[in-house]
Amino acid sequence: MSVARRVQQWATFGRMWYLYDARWQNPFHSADKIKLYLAGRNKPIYHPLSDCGDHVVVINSLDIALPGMEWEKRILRKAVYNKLDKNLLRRGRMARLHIFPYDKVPDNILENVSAQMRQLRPVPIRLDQIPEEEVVNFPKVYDWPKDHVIS
Amino acid sequence: MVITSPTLFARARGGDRYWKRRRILALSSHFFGRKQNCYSIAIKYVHRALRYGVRARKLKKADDRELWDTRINAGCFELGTKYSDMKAVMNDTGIALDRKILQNMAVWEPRSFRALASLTKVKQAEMGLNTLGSPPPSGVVTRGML
Repeated sequence: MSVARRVQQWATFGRMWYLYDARWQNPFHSADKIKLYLAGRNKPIYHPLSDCGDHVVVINSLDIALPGMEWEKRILRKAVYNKLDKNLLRRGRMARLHIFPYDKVPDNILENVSAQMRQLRPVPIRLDQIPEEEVVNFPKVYDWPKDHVIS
Repeated sequence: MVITSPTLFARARGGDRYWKRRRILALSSHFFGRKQNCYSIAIKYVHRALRYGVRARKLKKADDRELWDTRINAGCFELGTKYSDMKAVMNDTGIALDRKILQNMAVWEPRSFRALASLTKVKQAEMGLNTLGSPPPSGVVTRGML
């Protein structure tokens, strides 16, 4: 095998490190997405017997958005653990998941990160976070009547 | 025991109890414990193994298909399209490639596979589908453009 082919093979089977921002994301839908990367199902060379999974670094895990009263039931790590295939590879795949509560990530992990996963849904912006000027200048279809009471 | 003479083995087939047993024990040679060498136990497990073999030949086809689907989906996802869209476009344009060939292309011929993905995006844009994201790739000529 020539040097170029050998390097191509290393590059093909090298582990990627993905960054995932969990701010305002549903952890269960996120787990569906993250498990593909941990198992290596995101690349066409996938085979159940080859160890081709990637690392996923999750940040802002404190700011996940849970539907309803799910807060009392489950958390992100458990969600991913439940969604992964139930076999002997599960512990190894979980070892490739790195979860951090804020956007502070240790340098030795951050230096490996080479790609970012797209968030499932855009982060909503609260009205009180929009600058006052933009709110005032926002185009209006009509003005409220003078005597209209907005509670 | 090693079969010393293939001629004798073939000639004595069916009649001789010793060779009949050798045929079964040859199939059980990789089993563990008394399943390997005791005939009355081995015959039971050889029959079971042959039944498993029959079943596995059917399951293998489904397993292969599932693996190919996973790989093609991954390849499509990397290129920003979907396998279901690609299938529809291939059906429209008369590209007759099956799952086995497609997954082989995704692994070994990524550029040919990327051409298929580009074609998918352009044809979808012609139909007015999935155009909200990025514009369709340039350099693809379809029959509708000519």
